[in-house]
Amino acid sequence: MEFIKDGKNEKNIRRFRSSLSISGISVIALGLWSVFKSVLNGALSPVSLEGLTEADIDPVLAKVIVWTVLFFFLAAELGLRLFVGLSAISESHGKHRKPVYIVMAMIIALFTAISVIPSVFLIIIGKKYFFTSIATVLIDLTSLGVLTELVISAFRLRYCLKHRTAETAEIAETAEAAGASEASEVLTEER
Amino acid sequence: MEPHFHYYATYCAAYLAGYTHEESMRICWSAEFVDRCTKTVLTRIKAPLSAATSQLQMELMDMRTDVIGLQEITRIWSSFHFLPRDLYAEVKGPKRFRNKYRLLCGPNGTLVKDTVELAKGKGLEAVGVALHVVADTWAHTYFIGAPSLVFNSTNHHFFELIPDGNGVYEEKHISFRHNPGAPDDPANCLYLATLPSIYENSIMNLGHGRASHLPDYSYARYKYMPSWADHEVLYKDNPSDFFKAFCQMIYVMKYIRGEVPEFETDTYDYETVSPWESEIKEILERRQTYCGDDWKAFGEKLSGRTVEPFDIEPFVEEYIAAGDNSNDTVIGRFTGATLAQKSMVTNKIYKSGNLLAGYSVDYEENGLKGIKDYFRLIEKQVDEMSAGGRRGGRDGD
Repeated sequence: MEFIKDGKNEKNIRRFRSSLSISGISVIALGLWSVFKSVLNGALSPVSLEGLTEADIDPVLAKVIVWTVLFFFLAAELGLRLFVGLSAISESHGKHRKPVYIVMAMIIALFTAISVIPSVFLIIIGKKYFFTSIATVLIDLTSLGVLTELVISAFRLRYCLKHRTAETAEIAETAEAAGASEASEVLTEER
Repeated sequence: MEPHFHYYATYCAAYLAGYTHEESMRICWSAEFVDRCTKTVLTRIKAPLSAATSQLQMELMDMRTDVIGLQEITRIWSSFHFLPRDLYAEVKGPKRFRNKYRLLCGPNGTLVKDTVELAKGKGLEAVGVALHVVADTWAHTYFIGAPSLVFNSTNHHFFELIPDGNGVYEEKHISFRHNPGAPDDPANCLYLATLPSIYENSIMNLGHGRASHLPDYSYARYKYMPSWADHEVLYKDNPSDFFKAFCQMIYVMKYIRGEVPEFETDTYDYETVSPWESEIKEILERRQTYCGDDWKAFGEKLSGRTVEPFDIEPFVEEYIAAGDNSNDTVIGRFTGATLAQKSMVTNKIYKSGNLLAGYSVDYEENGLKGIKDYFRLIEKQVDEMSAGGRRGGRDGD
């Protein structure tokens, strides 16, 4: 048994694919958590429309409106995160994906960063939602970290893949010159 | 390694090393019994439980994975199936990581030499135990005999390299499934593995369970990316390794018989094997999960005698019937050899500063303390000394 000497670039490709896969799964998981949290918030602390408008609105209708709007926003957020996560996982398995998902990840990261600010403010003023805000900040920072990791891994993976062919050829030449052992024959072509 | 190698291939190696048919049968029986000697069997015959060399799946499921349980598991599996290659290997990382890294199994380590020298002059059963340990160091390279997610897990990056006969290898992705009812399917690269577990000390992560029986199949050439190797890929060539294991086993037995003055690691008796090299390599390369029939036929061709299938019952009856003199039976000598092997390996691991196999009592310093089963080793030494010196000569008694 021996280690396959296929170069630093190949090793990095495996490293960034692994990182991309984990980040993709994490983005989806955090998206599901976000949906769950919002549904729980909506169920346990219902929004009252009293005073928001001057018109008389039937309470049942108000509830329906709120839940409908909430549903669309949640569906949009979850859909985006699923798209980003699944694309990252797919790219980690060797399939080429357009960079749209990377741009989406950056946009979600930006909005996540912005959403941290009010939570930090609530922690500072130390009022009613102190502990909830701490938990929210921690989750948001985790989400931000995961999205950043995903974007960095995606870029670095693409960079390594671009430089792959040249290095593979160089390694194959070196192995041939040294009298290739059986192990060096197992170098695979780019999938 | 698979039973067909431990039993039938060991028979072939023993015969080629110069043992008679009867001696070879005893040796190969002992080599195979290392995989069968569980606490369940020993309880049945009222033999010392510390001599267990393996654990049934049901026994493992009942094992606790606290510190004591893990030490017991490590003592058994590291002593007989995953012999550590280098107990003083240097690696960057915290102590927990380093201790497990030092348990990585591999051939031609110092413990292999210790194992072989321990078996010299101790009877055919001890030879069989040593051969099992030596053979497994080739098959189980880079796994450890302790539950570990980091060191024993596998992931999606697992490929088999199938030769097309012209020196070119086709790479096929291997899928592992947990379906005990379905056999391994080499044609479709589907193999039965243990259930995935995210816990570091889960029993599911013991040995090569997560890689199925692939390390034990002589035809398999595969590459995979272990978690501990920092994204390096390991390549395993079983046909080549198993052939080396076979040749090394012959060399080991020639040393034990006294034909070789001193045992050296990384030495193989290719000369003895050369008339049969192509036949042996053909058996090893044949893409089948069970090669017992091929090895059996080869062994019978070598010796001209019938190689009986493995059966423990005759020796179980002998052991039970012997009563107080059970130490002089086949199983009695076998348990003596396994106690000595386990004691030696545990002591070496302990002295390297690694507590994964538990504590090892120094009898000279602390007196007879600890597990009573091992007192027998001291009693045996005292008996040998009072009988006027060490039993020397050829192992044929």
